[in-house]
Amino acid sequence: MEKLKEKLFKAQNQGNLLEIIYEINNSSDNVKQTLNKALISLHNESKINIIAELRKSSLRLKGNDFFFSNRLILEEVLPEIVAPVDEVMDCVRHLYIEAGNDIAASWIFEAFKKYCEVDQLRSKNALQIIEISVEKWLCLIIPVITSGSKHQASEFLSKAILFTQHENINVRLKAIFAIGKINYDDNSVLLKKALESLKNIVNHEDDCRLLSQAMNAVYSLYVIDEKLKSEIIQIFKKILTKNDEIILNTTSEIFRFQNIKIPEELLDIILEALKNINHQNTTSLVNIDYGLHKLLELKQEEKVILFLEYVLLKNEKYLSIGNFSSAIRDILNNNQLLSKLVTRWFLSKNISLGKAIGDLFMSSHSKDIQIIADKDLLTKQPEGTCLFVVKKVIGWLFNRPISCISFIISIIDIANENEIDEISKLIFNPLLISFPGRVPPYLIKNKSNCSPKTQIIIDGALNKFDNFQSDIKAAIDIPELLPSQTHQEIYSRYFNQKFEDSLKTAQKNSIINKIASKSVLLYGHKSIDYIQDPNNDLHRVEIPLKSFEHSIEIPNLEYLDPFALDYMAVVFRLEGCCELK
Amino acid sequence: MKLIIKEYLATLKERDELDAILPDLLSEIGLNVFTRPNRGSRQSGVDVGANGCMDGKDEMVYLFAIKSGDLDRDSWNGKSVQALRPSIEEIIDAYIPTRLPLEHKEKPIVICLCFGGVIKETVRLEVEGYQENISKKYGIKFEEWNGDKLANLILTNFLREELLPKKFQSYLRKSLSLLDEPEASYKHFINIVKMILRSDVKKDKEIATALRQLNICLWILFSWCREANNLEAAFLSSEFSVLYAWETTKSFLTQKTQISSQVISSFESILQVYQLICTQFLEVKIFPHVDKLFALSNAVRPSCEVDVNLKLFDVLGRIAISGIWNYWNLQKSIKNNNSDQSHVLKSKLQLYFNSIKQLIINNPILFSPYKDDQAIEIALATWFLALDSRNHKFIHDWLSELILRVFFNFKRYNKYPCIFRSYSQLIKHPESNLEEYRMEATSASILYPTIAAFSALLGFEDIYKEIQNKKEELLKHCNFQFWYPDEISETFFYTNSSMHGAALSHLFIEKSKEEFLNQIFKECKENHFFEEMSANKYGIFPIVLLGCRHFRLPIPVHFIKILKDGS
Repeated sequence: MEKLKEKLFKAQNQGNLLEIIYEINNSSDNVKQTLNKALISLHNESKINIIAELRKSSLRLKGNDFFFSNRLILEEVLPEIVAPVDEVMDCVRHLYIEAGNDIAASWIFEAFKKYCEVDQLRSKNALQIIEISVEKWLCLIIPVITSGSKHQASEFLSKAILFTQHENINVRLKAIFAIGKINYDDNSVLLKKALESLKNIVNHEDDCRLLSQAMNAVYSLYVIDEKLKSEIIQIFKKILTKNDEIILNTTSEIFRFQNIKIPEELLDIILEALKNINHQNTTSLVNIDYGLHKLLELKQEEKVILFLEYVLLKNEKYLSIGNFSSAIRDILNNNQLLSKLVTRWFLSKNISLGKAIGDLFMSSHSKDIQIIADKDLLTKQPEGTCLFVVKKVIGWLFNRPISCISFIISIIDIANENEIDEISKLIFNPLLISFPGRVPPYLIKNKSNCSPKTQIIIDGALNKFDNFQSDIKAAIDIPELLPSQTHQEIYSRYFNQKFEDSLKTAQKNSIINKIASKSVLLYGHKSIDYIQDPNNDLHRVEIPLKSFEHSIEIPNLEYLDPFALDYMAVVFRLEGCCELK
Repeated sequence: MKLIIKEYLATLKERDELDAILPDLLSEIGLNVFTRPNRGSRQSGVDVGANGCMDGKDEMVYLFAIKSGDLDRDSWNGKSVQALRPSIEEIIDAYIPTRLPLEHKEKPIVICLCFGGVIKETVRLEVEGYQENISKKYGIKFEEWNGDKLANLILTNFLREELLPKKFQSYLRKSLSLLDEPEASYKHFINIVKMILRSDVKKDKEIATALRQLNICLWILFSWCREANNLEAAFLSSEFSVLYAWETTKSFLTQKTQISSQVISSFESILQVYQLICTQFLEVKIFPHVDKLFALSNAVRPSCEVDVNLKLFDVLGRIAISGIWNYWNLQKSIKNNNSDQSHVLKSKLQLYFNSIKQLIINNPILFSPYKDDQAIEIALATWFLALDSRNHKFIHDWLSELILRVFFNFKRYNKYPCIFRSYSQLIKHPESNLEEYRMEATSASILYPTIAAFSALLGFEDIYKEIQNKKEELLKHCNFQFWYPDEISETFFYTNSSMHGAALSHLFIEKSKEEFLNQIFKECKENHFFEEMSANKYGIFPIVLLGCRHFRLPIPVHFIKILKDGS
């Protein structure tokens, strides 16, 4: 380390300290700790002044990597450095401003906070400096108050409350945020005081930025002391009466980052408010999606379903279930919930919800999701409801034949005779006819798990299908009907061209192509390579090639009667529904 | 070449098939055929009777007893009604004493045992012994006309190189070797037809020979196709042959010479082969499956839905045109007071009606035309079905569903009927959802006016109104039109050698159905070229419909008018 210190000292004298630090820092992963210790030691021995070096202007002109790498060094060494508060504050502020809009800009405050916490006088001094020119030191209000509160919570809370009355709204915003971050150490008196101050703000302020900040702070207080629940709910209610996008965005953040279980009553208020989310606000939508994911983890399925229903219907032209990808994943992984959702939304007779089910399944890569009808939802429904739901299932999930057929056979037990007659026709045409490779094996495999009543229907449909297959086979050898050689060649060329085009398009966005170089093997089924080890020895390695394949069953009706498929899909989707798109 | 012909002769399955070419062959050799084969029955054992000199010998009477394939013990003297020995006995006991024309009574008689294959060695001794006995007893000679002899005669009299251009044999070989690629085989056969009926064949005798050559070539192709289990090349070639043969024959219809009757007879032979091919294809291969859901659609083994669509509409057209020929045969039969034949043809007609209906019901792609010119098949089927008023409800249901599907597809930018004809365009269609593309793809139509005309005529008010509405709503840009033959149509129609005819545009579809019909039928009155077309003039109107199907021309409105007039 002495050598390193010598090198750094020399660099200080030569005026290229930061360049040398950057060079050493990048030379090896193991050097970082030693470098930090050397810098702390040299600085505290007054042999170098790292603060002054980093305060120099235009560091960023030497490149982003140079700037952030050196700034990171300071973040690591700052808590252990002995330096006057004003110099440190000036340097930190400078480095914050220099970082501009970079996501890492504010990371320096955490280091500064730790620097202040080393000596309670540092926070005090810093606060005095801030008070002289609050607007100049705006960015340091939060770290100073939060660090100061570690030892003198009451005093710093009072200062924060004082700042909430400052004429500059930005100061007020920082102060409100700081109140939420103060270290109350379970001091109920202080918590009460903080809560009162926030209540006061909510009662008197009108600016939505302040109110949303207050909501954040209030929620932070609740996280510390759940006994404040009823007051906090009142404050939330009051703030959320303002249907403002900033407030809703903060609400979505609270919903997303719920680090403790949100009380039922508050959760309802939050979800109610979030129903008014702007469909263009993608950040809020992502927050809500994560929040829903957490709710599903907490088995709050009913709330999630109701929320999604409302939001999808309200924003049917702009939002799809695809906007809630995390929630979708959870729903698809929860067969019971999925089955319930399918039954419920198809029963709703609402086209948007039907479409949502279609989209939900489309987003799944697994084609064999089995679902069963939720019989609780279907009983006591008027006659014809089972057939209605079956048609919806076929209409929206036709390309998921296993999902379709699993749902349909699960409904037979509760369907009446007239419905069963229609349902068994639908099992034959379009399902069995369209998917001879998937539906018959599924029915044969699962028949034994079904009720005798369902088994009869399955047998009937399979018999009909066998007869159909016999008829088809009997007619298969009519060479006169085959497309001409010319047509076959034209189609083959057309298909190959389409395939090539889509392959190229897919490869454009391929992650593998971005992270790996491409090497083409023209012959053979394995690759021979020589790999160099750390001792420069070459080792022969044979890498066998893997083949990947994917197959899909295109519904036969796509060729035999495409109109019927399209028409059936449209009719089955829309028939009996309350609105048409 | 001889092998090809022998192969053909050996594969002729029915006696009727062999005796279909024998009279032509005998005429070509120079014999006078006085007894021709009658369908279904022999004249006291004689299938064909002829007299004349052959191979420099004296004039003789040749009585032919015909048998298909090889002659074995069973076909010589078995239980079969067509066994040869009983036929020969019948000739000796009944034909020669009672039915041989008086002028030939004194001439030496030769009984010819005629068959496509060979005499099996197991029966040869028996046959020769029998012949010897009869010869001794009655002084009648016997000749063996086996496949080899027939092939030699065909080759030296019909297809010898001096009679035909050099390339002929090569085209025939190519056509026969490409039966699994019917389109290619058909193209080579077209060359054969054009070569045989080339314009420099001008003498009447040459024309008669040319038609016989064509008949034999068509038979060879047909028998080879049948062996290959693929009649497609024969089907297309026979349609083309009939049309070309008609072009050659039509000028002989007014003549009453021996040659003209030979020419007409040869044309009829070609027509018979064509009808036989149709029957074999439809009644054996297609009809057994028309009542099975998707069976025929699936048999196309398609790459895409366009394949099914094109093939099924094609089959629809073939059934319709064959049905129309049956109807024509029935009319002829009624006219000739042949009640037995009429009865058979009537039930056959019902078979064709039902087959079309079943085909449509079980292959629903027939509710969705993708090409505007599939109006031809729709018109043929509708016209044929409309001959029986009991089919009118079916026509209504079909056309009404068809219209619903067409406009559903139109609105959803899915495979709506377009004017494109090439396969490469059709598989891409619709290439775009842009209005500009759709307008181009539907810039003109014979489909909608054809359906409108049938609907107006048959009183399908709802369909007519629907087309009227959609024209106003979606197809304002589309030029509804009909095709009428013109003064040069007679010259070019049967060979499709040039553009002909005229289109009546901007039809009055927006007006009442009566006004619409008035407009299109008025043009029929103005246009007398349809009636002057030779096929119509001589009462063989199905040839016009066949030409429309084969050369993709719209069905003339006159046919719709015929329905109206009830003639």
